[in-house]
Amino acid sequence: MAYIEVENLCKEFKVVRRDKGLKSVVKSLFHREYDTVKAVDDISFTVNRGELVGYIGPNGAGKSTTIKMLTGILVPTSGRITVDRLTPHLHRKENARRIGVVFGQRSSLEWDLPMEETFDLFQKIYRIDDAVYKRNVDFYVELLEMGSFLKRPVRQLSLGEKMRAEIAVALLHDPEILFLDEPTIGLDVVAKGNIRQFIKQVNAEKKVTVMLTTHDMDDIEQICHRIIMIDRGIILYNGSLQGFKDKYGGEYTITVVFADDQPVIAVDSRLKLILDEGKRKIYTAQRSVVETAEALRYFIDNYQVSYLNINEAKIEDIVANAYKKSLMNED
Amino acid sequence: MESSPEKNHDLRRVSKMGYFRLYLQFIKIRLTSILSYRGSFFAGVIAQMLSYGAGFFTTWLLVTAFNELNGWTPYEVLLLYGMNLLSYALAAFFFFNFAQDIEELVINGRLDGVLTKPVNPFFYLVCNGFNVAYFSHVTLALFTIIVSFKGLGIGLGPGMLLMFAVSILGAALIHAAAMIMTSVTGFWMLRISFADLLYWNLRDFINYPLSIYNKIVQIILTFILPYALISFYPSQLFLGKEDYLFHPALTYATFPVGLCLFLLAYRFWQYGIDRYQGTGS
Repeated sequence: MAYIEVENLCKEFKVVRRDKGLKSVVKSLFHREYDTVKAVDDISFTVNRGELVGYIGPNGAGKSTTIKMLTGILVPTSGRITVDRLTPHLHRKENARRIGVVFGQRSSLEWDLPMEETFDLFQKIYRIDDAVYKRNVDFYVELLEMGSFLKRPVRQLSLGEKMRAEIAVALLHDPEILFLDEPTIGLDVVAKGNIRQFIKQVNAEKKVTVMLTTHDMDDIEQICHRIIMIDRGIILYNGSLQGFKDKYGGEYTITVVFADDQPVIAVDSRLKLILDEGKRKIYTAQRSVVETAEALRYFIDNYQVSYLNINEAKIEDIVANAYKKSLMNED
Repeated sequence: MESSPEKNHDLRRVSKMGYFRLYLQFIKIRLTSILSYRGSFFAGVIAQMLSYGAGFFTTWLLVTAFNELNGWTPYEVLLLYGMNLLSYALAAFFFFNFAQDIEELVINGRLDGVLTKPVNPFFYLVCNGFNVAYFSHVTLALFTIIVSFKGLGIGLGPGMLLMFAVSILGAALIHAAAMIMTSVTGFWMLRISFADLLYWNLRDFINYPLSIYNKIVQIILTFILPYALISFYPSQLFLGKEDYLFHPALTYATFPVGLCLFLLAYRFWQYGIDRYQGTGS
């Protein structure tokens, strides 16, 4: 049995319909019309113990709604969720004992409290045994290099320090799974690297299952075993990173600089011209239609070429491409 | 190896004792944060003292000008003011921030953080919202009550003192219930200032004897929004008055009514958070 099981999960929200104009405002005071918005629309997936899963999708795709249902904050409209055989919203408190949650955009720390005392507070909230508590505080303070700012009130910490503190606090009670909602948002390159390194380490050493949402594709590329992509409440992709690249990232570009201003007449129809600067031209092609080696050979065999370069799509572009594709399918 | 849910079920549940320790921890935190904002804390205390001191004096001036209000002497009216303020302050210690903050917690998402903790959100937020500043109100209220009893030459025996404490507790529960109920609309971010307004203004109504108002106001403040149970009815036990209006039993009704209203308010709050979990806002 998988650690997390999600089956035909739906979450609908009712949104008050608002038309423009004073008349409709007055009307809505007495009679309200609602639109039903499906934030999560019949999704199913599983997560195994020890996995590190990236949950991605554009803004408003349904990521946070899913995470909120998995953590017991929201009650599903229909469908089934179990986290280690418990239904989160029915056993919210029991579920809360075994999960750690970090919402990157909002803090769970006390503003005026230094981290030393925040740890104390969380020991009381989660009723952590003294021995476990001491071991974990020492472990995370060292691993996250928090020693230098333990005595400063949280409000004086930098964004990077604060994020480290959030993650340490979320892990203090030895959760089996860690939900991270945009853990690297707003951090500088070095801080992002540190957080990623740490997540990997916790996953490997403490066997903590991790599910993270992010907009930073480097997070995905560097730490996730698997990605689940959701858009408009529907899962578009669920599988390995390589599979994702193959499915959505088949496009590449070729930059060619021709030796002289010869008119290029009979270019292979599988190559699409997207930029023409005289001698320098850029083409795009799909790998599924024409492989890179064949495309290169085509130019070398047929023309006098002084420069050739092939660019594979970056993960960011692949994701953008995937989002765009799902938009076009919709319309 | 997967652990069974049944086993985890019993694991270290937060007991009543746990909440008490959590509560002490939060009190410690609030006191510490006062130390780091000493200036603003004392400024706040002085401002509160001035504002409630002014309330005290207007009441005093008004009553002494009339010499008596419907058979109530200035010192007797002062007791109404003192009982109202004391019970209000006791409720506000625990529920003022709690009630004020709900909407903000919904908007900034911190309520979600609370729901991912293994605690009852009501108790957790009450602990979290503890407000030390009400010591100034308590001091002023106790001062007023003592001045009133001294002025009237009334000394309370142990039995009456206990009855006084029970009445104040009941009155505090009525205030608390009002604070909790007006806060529930914050869950769907429609915090109705009308409800607030009703509460804050009615609170001042009862600084004067209920018998000076017309019948409709009397009925409303006794049976519908029973604020008169905070000070008007119970005070007569200690003042030996018989301005009962409806029934003498009302002088003893403060605690039971307060308890019922408080439990009702708690249920209403639970309904609010259930709805939040269903709709997300």
